[in-house]
Amino acid sequence: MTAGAPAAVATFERRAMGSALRLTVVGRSVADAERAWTLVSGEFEAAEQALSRFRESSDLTAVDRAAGSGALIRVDRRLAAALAAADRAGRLTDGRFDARILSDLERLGYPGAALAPAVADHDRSTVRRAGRTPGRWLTIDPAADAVTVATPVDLGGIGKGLALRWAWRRVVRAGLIDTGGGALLEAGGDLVAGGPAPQPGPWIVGVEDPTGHDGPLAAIAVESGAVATSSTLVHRWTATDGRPVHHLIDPRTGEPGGIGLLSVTVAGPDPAWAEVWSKSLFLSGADGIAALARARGLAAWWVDEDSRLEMTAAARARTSWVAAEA
Amino acid sequence: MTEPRRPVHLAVVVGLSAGAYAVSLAGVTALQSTSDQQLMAANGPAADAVLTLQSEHDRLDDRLVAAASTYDAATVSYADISVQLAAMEKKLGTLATEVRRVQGSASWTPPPPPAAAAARLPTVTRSGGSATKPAGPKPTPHATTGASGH
Repeated sequence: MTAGAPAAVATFERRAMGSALRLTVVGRSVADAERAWTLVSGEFEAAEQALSRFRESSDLTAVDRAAGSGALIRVDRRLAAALAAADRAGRLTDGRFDARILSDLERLGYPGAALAPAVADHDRSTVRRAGRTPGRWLTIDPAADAVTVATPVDLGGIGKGLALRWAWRRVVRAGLIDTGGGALLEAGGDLVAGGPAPQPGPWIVGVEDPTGHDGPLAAIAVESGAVATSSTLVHRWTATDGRPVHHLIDPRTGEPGGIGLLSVTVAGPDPAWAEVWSKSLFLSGADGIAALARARGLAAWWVDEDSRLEMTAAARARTSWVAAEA
Repeated sequence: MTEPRRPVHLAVVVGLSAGAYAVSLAGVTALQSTSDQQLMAANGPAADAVLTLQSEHDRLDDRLVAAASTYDAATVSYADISVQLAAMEKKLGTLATEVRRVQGSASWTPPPPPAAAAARLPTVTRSGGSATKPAGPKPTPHATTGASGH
């Protein structure tokens, strides 16, 4: 394609933060589409360098390494913001969301729970000893962008949501999302979209069947906003004691939560909070999810163990198609 | 024959008397005019006060008329509000009846289990009706939301 020529649909893709990162741009020139991808890709690289616990050189690895020591570590502003967001999410979800579940995942034998080598060598005993003590676990010096945590943390889900938020904000601020051009940005099952879609009407987002069958269970119409899903489809394994377990840990019990549920999807204006609420709703289980979702006014879809798709009224208003009703 | 004598002195006396009368009359008129001017000057402030009083009276009268008009309007509004209050009271009465009826019905329902913090409303399921026409041809999604790590 030639720079300056209108691009009906331009797509870009690479791996970031352990998932596929995809950007679809509509109605922009090739140059503008590539500029949007540069902004997105750069922001995700910066976010991963700040928030990833799988990078030896990341800011989070340094903070986790010093966990429990009380030493303030100077970090990228993204990590300070992410830790503050995780702390706030814990408060707003009554403890359903908690970034300090690494020790539980490790105890259950989660393959991805291993700490970065330097952290593991130095602080594995600290992880076991500190656990999730109630009270303040995070200290931030905002003037110096310095933080310290009482226990090693994992910002996987909310970190990805925040990276989506920050990358999307950069694209919007660049003037690339308006009535003349739209985009959809995906990162590992979570996404944010806005502006015109490739066809007349809103962006259409399929809800994955958590049993693994092909084809979506429903389609969500997204004019502008984010969608996030918490699901047990991928991260399931057999625990050391032989139990089938998954990675969505209930911080209140230290065990896999979400009894009776396979997946929860939440739509909202912000990808980070959509991610927080999808996980928190999942942990409320099949018996509690409807009441919590309604109490919070959330647009939520969930699939129970019998593969039944249910949703709130707010979600129904955004649903353009349901497989079982087709 | 002898020419009769004419009394000239009488004519002179009459002329002098008339002249003196005229002079006196002019003097009296002058004195009276001066007196009237003094009287008018003395009465000026009182006249002004009377005019001011009349003006204030007129203004007060205007205010009374305006107040009366406002009072009439307020009376009409109050009448309307009274009607609305009566209607509201009637609705509150109906609502109170409904609340009593619901409470009466609720007393027949079994108590919730201790773990339930709130009454569970029926969920909207795929088998229910739809306001957004979710049925129809299968769409081609632009993306799929699902488990991370794909």
